[in-house]
Amino acid sequence: MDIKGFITSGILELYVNGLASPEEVKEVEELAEKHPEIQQEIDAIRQALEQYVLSHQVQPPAGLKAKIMDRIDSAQKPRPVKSKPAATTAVPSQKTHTGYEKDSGANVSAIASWLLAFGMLAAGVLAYWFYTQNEQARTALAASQVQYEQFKQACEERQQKEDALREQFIAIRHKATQPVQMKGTKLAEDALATVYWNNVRRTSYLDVASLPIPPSGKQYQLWAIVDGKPADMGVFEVNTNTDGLTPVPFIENAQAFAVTLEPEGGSENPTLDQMYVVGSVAKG
Amino acid sequence: MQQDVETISALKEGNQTALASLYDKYGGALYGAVLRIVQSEEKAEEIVQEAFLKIWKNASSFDENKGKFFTWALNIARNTAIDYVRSSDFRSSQKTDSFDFLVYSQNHPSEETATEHIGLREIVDKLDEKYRTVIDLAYFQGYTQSEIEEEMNIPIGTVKTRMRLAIRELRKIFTK
Repeated sequence: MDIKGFITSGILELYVNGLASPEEVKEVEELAEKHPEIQQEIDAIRQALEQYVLSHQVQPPAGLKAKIMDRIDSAQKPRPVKSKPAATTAVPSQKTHTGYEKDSGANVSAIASWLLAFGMLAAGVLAYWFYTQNEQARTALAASQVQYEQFKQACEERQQKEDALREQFIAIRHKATQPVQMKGTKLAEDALATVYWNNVRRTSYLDVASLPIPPSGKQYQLWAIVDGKPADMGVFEVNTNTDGLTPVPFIENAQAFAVTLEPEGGSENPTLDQMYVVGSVAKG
Repeated sequence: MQQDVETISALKEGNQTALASLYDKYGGALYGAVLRIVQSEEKAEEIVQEAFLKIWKNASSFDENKGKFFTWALNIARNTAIDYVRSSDFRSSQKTDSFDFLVYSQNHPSEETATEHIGLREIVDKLDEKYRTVIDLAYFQGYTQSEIEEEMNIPIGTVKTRMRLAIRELRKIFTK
């Protein structure tokens, strides 16, 4: 495993920015666990982005802190569920002024207050039990929500990827699509790449079958040749592209396509002695 | 940024003062990031509230061995904001002028910057706009690669290259 190459490939930057595909995320996380230098690089990238955030602080509105503290206050405090001492005073005195109240009457009243006290205590215990159950459920729900959001995001990413792949599939099958094979020059005889060019739908896709890994600081750039003049179709990466074909700009009246090796970021004009593959559009 | 070990363990025990002091320390950064995403002070205020509520409720799930508190808190705030932006029809209404946030975050009148960052802020704002945009779209707005491609009208290969160069520039700035 070429750790240094992996670190400089750009995949870690995509990962930290949330742009890596689920497979790439898995790969990065597995490798980061094994190789501390990868983890260090990830931390450094993250640190740079966080510094960026910190350098764009904005003073929040004055009342915001109080609102937050209020809300956590009410979110946290259990509603008071005391079994009130009122139980003992809740039963109105049954004494009358006749002096004739019977003993049994006093007993009934005592039993009633005990029952009432017991009932209220039980209610308090129940209320407390419901309260803790509810809090637990809420915590579990919050955790599930976080998980749900993660799944949802992963799912959306997949959907997007699938849509892109389907679109490519349709584009390749379309009757007006011409596959233009670009064969390796003497710089790399085994190199091979194809442009799927469609002048009805006005789309082009690039498929790299084989190109040598570019040295650091260099990047491949795709060109169309129109009436003998090169037209820029953008730079592309070879090593990290696992997402199918790369959509490239459509160039009208292209007669040929070629790939050259250029300084990172691309050039305005192709470096012709660094042409790796080239192929002509069949006349029709 | 020094570690917040004691504050965090107090937070985990449900200490409200701990939350308040974390707000004092990071509230401005989180609010700034959220404002950048949602483009509305009113909404940003709401979302920062939500974020701190989540931080409060889920404090026990924060694992200091896995990363810094700020990373964790910022992710919560970012995700809450991005979810809001994605869930509403916010996006379609903003589509035509989605680059406004760049202008917004630079010229907003009520904006104040923590003193220690003023110098850096100026340097960061000198960062080439094409780099700033790619970071803003990916990191703040949560765009996918193909959405960035569409928004900026550049091929995917260029998105990757720009992201790498953008981070390299940022790292140069911050290691100075």
